[in-house]
Amino acid sequence: MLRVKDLVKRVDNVLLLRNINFEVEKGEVICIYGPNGSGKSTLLRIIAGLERADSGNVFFRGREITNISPWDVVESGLAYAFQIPRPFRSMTFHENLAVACMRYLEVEEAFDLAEKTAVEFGVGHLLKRSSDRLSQGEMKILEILRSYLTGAELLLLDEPFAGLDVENAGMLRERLHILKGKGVSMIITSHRKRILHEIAGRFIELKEGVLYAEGR
Amino acid sequence: MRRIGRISMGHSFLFGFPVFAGAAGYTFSAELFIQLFLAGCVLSFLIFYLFSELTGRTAFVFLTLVFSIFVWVASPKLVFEKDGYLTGGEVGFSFPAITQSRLHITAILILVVIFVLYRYVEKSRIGYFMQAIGDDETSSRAVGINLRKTKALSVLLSCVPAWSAGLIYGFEFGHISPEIFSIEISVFPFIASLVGAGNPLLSVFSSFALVYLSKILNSIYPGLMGIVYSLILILSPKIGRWVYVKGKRLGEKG
Repeated sequence: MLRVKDLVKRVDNVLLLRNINFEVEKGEVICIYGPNGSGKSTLLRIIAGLERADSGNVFFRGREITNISPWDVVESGLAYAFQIPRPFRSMTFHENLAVACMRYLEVEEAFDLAEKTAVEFGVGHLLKRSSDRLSQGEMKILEILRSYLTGAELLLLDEPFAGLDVENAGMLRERLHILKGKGVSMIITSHRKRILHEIAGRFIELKEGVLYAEGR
Repeated sequence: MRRIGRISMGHSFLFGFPVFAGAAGYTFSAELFIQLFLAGCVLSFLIFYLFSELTGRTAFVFLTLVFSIFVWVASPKLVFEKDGYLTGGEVGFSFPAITQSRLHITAILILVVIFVLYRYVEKSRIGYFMQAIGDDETSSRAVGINLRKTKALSVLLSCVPAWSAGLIYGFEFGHISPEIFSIEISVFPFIASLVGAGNPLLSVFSSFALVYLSKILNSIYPGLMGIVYSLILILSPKIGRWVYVKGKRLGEKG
């Protein structure tokens, strides 16, 4: 489904990513773990089109998507969720979700789907709430649901558990299980692999921009 | 443009340029008036779109103003000779005549059409996309919003009332001079929308109030209105923040 081939990223002559190679199959959930500054977020941002790669290729469903615009990446079926949630502050939870599906649905249909999805994921009570009045955990769920509602088949989740307490982390894990049950493929980055033990089927270690180990 | 987070202080360019170009063309023929007016519309749109693409939010505010001032300084250099007479320069160009009653009805109709159009756009897909871009450009890109297309549409939607207002201005006075690009006219829509708290209807009323206030204050002391404009510009961010915080507190109590 996704193939990353010899991906290299440099910033000010420092190699952030060195010849990264990996593949993701349909319905697979992968955890990329590693310490701070190992290049996890950069890797996801390059796949999402939010940063440019210096060399190498990214293929999604056989089509090359290296360095194309982020909206074309979303159009091809990939979506990225930020580590620090970035909701649309002037909008409600409902509007935030609806905007994500307006690319392929009419406005009314988008609001209907957003409501249905929020209820299904157990956050229907937040629909009317302004996005700047959400807790950190609720914002993380909004961020992930919003990327899911873009119609993506593969989600790129950047450190979804960072900064969450035990209760909120548990709440988020439940939602990720629902997504996994729906057959959505995911690449999830994390400092620790333990936190994703039940969700991810494969673990890749990234250290100082180098892919060190791959295993189940 | 406010919806995509771009506020211009140099809307006098959009307001004045097509009508100034049209008036220059009217020196030669009515056909050339229409052709140059339309060409001015296209060119002013392209320039503002490029500014919004290439610059950040803060730079856009000032770049548009600087550009309008540049046009204000340069436009008196445009002089033509027709039938042995010089036309243009600091005096400007004449404009086709139209009856006042017809003009005022047209102005009201245009205002109503623009209000209806904006109301419709606000609740449409493109309206939500604009709001999203205004809130967070990076996040908008991540959910698949085409920034280029949305920004272009937003600039176009902002141009339409400015072009229309310029045309009505020209018909009202029957004459267009380089003053149309002056600082006072440049910042006027900005000030009016600040006083109107960004609300379209309140901005129309605040425009009327500012025009009359300007006449009164400038008759007391020439240039006094400029001081009022400056005060509004200096105080508006602080007042805006105060209103926002107060509004949030009231909301929490509710």
